[in-house]
Amino acid sequence: MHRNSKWLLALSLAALLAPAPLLAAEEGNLSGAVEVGAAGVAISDDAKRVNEYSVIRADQGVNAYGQAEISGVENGIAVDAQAEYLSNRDQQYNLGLDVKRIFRFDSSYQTFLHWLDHDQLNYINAAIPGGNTFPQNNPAAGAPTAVAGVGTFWNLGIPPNDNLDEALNPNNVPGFIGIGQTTGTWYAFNPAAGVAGAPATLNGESVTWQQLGRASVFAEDFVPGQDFMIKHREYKNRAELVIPQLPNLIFHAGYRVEQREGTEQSIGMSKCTSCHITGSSKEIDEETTDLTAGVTGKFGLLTFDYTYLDREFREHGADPTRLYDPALSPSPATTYTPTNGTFDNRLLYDYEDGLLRYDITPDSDKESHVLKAKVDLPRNVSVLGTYVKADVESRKTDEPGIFTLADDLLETTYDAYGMKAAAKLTKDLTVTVRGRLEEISNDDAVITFFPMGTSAQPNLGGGTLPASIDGVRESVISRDVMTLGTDAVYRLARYTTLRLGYEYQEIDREDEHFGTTESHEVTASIKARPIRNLTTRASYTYKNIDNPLQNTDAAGYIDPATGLPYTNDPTFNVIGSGPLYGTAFYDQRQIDLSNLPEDVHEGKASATWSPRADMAVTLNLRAKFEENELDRSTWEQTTFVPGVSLWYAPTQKINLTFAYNYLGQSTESKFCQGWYDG
Amino acid sequence: MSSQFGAICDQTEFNTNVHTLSLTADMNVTEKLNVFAGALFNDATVDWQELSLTTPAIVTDPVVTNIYTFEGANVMQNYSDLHYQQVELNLGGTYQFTPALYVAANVGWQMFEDKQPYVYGDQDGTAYRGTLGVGYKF
Repeated sequence: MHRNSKWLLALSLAALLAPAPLLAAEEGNLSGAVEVGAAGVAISDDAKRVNEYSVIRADQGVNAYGQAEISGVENGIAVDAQAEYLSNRDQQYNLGLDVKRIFRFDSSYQTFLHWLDHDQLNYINAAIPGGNTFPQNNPAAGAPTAVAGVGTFWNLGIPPNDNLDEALNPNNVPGFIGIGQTTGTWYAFNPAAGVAGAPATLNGESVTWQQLGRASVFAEDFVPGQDFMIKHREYKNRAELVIPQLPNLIFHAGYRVEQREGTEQSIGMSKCTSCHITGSSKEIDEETTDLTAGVTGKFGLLTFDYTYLDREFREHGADPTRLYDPALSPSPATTYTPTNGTFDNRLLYDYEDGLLRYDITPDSDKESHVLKAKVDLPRNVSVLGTYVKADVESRKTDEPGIFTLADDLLETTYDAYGMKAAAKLTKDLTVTVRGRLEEISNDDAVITFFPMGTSAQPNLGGGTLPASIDGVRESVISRDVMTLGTDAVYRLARYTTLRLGYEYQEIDREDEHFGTTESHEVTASIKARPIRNLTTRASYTYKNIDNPLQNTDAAGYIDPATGLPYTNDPTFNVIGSGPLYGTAFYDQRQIDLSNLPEDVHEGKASATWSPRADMAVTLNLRAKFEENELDRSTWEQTTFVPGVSLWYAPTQKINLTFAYNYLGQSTESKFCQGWYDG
Repeated sequence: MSSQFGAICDQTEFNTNVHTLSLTADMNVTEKLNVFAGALFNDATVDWQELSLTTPAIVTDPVVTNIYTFEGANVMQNYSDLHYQQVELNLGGTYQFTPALYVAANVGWQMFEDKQPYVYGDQDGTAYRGTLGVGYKF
């Protein structure tokens, strides 16, 4: 009875931080400690970096803290528990229990707070002002000519002329710019109130007009003073049971709950006539629940483990909503009203649809089966086989009336088969061969869009839009991956080991646009102890990747007729409704870009020198060079990471450590800027 | 679009430099007093260089040459200039009144200096932390 009460006391201590005097009378195999006191934090200026993951407290103040630990073994029952309470936001508890090696139980709970960044959104402002600013401080434009009921125009002359250059500048933009088709004279024009466009003729000649002004990119933070933070909680449990009648089997089960609660910043954007970026907040109330069950067995030469996982992810927080801006033409004549539909034929939704959900986190479910088996054969030969089967379902959200999904439950399946065999062929040589096949299949998203407008924009030929448009978004996840490799470890001398390795990988993507990636990797490393107090390691790895995932035709422009990076084709209208951006510009991009290498060279070296029992110095160096010679561009990255560490114990009572590390990385890549007028 | 359009490109360079230095000391000053101290310094810079776009000589369209500015786009490389410095100092110790009873104290000072504030605003901050407690081992 006395011993039972001791264990009950131990568990109570771990959970409740029982005061020390209660434990003073305990003895025997039980040991531990309890500590109580006060803890405080003071923060000046911004807390998000100096207290990003809360330590002691999430904000400044003082509170009581307590921590305790206890461990002991009695009658084949072992317990090991720790508890740490720093504040209501920072706590950690661990419990380990072993009952005569028949039942083992490990449990832990942790909570902490994570401060999140707040994008100020005060740096995104670019605009071409409306036509009403053109006359201001712009004497170079000359005297305006007002035409009643039409608007005001300025004669800017025939280019090139200095007057034209001075009159047209980013701070003085007219509503329209036009060219007289007879004389080549340039005109600036601002329409009168209520007038939709520019006149077909001016000064007795027909004029081709192009609209300017009012295009803009700007951002607003609707919650500038709000703090964003997430409170994390994780509760993990694992139990193992050995049934005496089945001593070769260990049954195991687990239960894990992870919760994230708080608010994050949520950024959305309206389009047309402006790119209007807005920042707001989003409620986070996520819960991930894992249930696992399985069995580990050992029968002679065979060892196996099977684990089943069932995972549920739910976001209980309300979806954020927002009002989108009215779809408006940037024409100076546009009346800015919520119901104006001048650009309805370019968008799927706008202000008139009211509050719409955005920035939605989908719920998902996952099931997986993992089977591993290992056979230890005579003469130091072992074979390991693995099989993984996983199924993930992600529930997507449509917006009836704007877009619908043929199937709102998108499924991803993963099947992997692996095998590894190792054999000690001679006293000094061990060879390993391995292979892995993975199949990932992901549903395509079949979406039906419902346009707002009834007619297509003129540049696309006009006409009546269908009531709905079907689209298929092919998955880029679906692929087959094959990995084959071999390693040989050879003992060159008593303290010298050489390792050589090779790995081949093929990633065959279902989406033909990204095609197949093949890679070959060779590695050579050596570990040696050339003298008694010096241990050294060095390795070199070369990897060649054929067709890494990259953005083909991502940038630049090449004229298909001349091969030059620009077009100067006089058959295109100089101003007016000329060629379309999509077909004439974007479809002619031919520069490939990527941030992934085709060739990788990596070398590592380290040396530890221990001249005395109380001193050790370690030098290490890692250098990596990566390169991708793309079509019409080059990407390179050089990484250099040296470091030194020193441990010195001048007396048995003093330990000193010193460490310095440097990371230098230089990346070269092509940057392209498109240019066009219109 | 007008009759003139195209793209200009430049090979640019993005550099990251991070220095990290740490020192720790752990001393049994007396049989009853144990003291530890730690210091950490971190300096991280990032910059984007060599973006130098210029107006192509071919461009004669007054709208492009006057309203759009190629050279003005080069300023965007300054947006990526980041520079952080971080210092962290900790000092603590325990004093054993008896083999079972002890008192523990820790103080810490942490400073983060944002020398190139940008997207997230000025993230300068300083934190002081301390604990003082009494413990019992059994």
